[in-house]
Amino acid sequence: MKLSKAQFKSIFDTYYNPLCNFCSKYLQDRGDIEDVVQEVLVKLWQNHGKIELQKDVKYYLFTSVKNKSIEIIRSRKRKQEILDTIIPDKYFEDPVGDEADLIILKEKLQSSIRQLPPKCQEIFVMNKVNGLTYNEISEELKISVKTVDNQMRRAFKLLREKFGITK
Amino acid sequence: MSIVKSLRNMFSSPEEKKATMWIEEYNENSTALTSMLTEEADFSILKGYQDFDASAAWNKIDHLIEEDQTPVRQLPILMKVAAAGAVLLIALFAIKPYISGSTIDTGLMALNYDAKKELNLPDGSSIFFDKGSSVEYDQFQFTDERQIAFEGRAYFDIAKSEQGKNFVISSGEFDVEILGTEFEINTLSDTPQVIVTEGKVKVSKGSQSVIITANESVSLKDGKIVKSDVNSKNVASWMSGELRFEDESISAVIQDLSQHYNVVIEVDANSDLSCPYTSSYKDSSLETILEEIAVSTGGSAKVTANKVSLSNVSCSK
Repeated sequence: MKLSKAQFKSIFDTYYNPLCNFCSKYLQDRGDIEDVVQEVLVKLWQNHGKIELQKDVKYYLFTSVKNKSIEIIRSRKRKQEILDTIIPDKYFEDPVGDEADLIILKEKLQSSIRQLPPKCQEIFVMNKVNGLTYNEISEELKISVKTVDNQMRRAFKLLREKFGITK
Repeated sequence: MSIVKSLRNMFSSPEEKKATMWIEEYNENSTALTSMLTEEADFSILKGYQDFDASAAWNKIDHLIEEDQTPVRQLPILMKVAAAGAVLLIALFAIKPYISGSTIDTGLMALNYDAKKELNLPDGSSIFFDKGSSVEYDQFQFTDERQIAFEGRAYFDIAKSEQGKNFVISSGEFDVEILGTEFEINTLSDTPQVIVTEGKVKVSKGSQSVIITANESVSLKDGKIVKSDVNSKNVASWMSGELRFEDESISAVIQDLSQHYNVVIEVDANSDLSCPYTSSYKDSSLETILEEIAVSTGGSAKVTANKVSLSNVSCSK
């Protein structure tokens, strides 16, 4: 398998944020998370000539992040001399495929929401992500319910356009 | 549309296609996404989804990502046996490239190509190299200086600089300064040449310099730069492997073949080079093409290890 730097960069950009979010399931510190993800991606680059990936790169990356994370948790536990601490089961479940797909779906939603105009974005997140009603938003932002409604319509229109859906 | 870009697919190996797939597989679950875009949809799954700074991370690891030199495959050798008599000559020799003032420890990148290969540069420019070409540039200085040293044959698609910095190519034979454009340089031939297909290029040899634009070329003859028009449909044909001749004179055909295969084609004095010739080829060997020409002109062709010749070409057949 040969990758050009440009191809690698594209993989990096695509998977960086999803992998960090996946890693946050195992590690809390953002610095640790980013270190793990960077290490895994750099390793992909260093080995891309040697490894032959049967499955897609998605599973390779997510599985590597998971293994690396568990390795770190283990070594830290050992340092704390809590050798018999049980690592919760969730770390060993093998839903990397589904998990990865879900995170990638989230990334795509998130990245498209990020592109909405600021006010529109704020209102959309308040309503759809945080579950506030139009009335609550109107009070919170001191704008009319009508404006909230308009902004929500606009958000959906822009999102649909972005994904090429005509409705 | 650049020739380089349209050719990219043609030359992409299975590995390259797989790499593209890796990137594209990310886009597969768009059906799931579409179903979420209704007013009733619940986006609460995004709660706790964090943003990390991918571009800052890239800057951190960028220096670890070094492109090694690529080529592995050798293309088949075209020539077999030899003959005599000379009218048209295009020879094979390479010129050592240089970048003045560069040393190894400044991040000098030197790449040699044993097979056709494209290189993407950090400024968005791309270069499509023929086998036997090489390029050198300073990785650290490149973005600021846009300077490379080059030998061989390549098709350049140079991106416009945001800072208005012109791209400069030193070839040993001449210096080429690009004012935003697409063009070909060939130093493998005995008349080193620069052909422009789009835009504007300044070519210098010592104190001489000339500016050429689309469908013009500059060749080096006896140390002098000569500007001429390019009428051939087969410019950069070596990239696609395709050659087309429509009522071209045999002399023009030979000129194109010499360019395409980078060889000397000798023609004896008895041949009538004004005969018209029409045919097209894709990835054909030089031998096949010359035999076809010989058959249709009643002449004979010989292809040997280091000489290629055509004799007794006549229009009557």
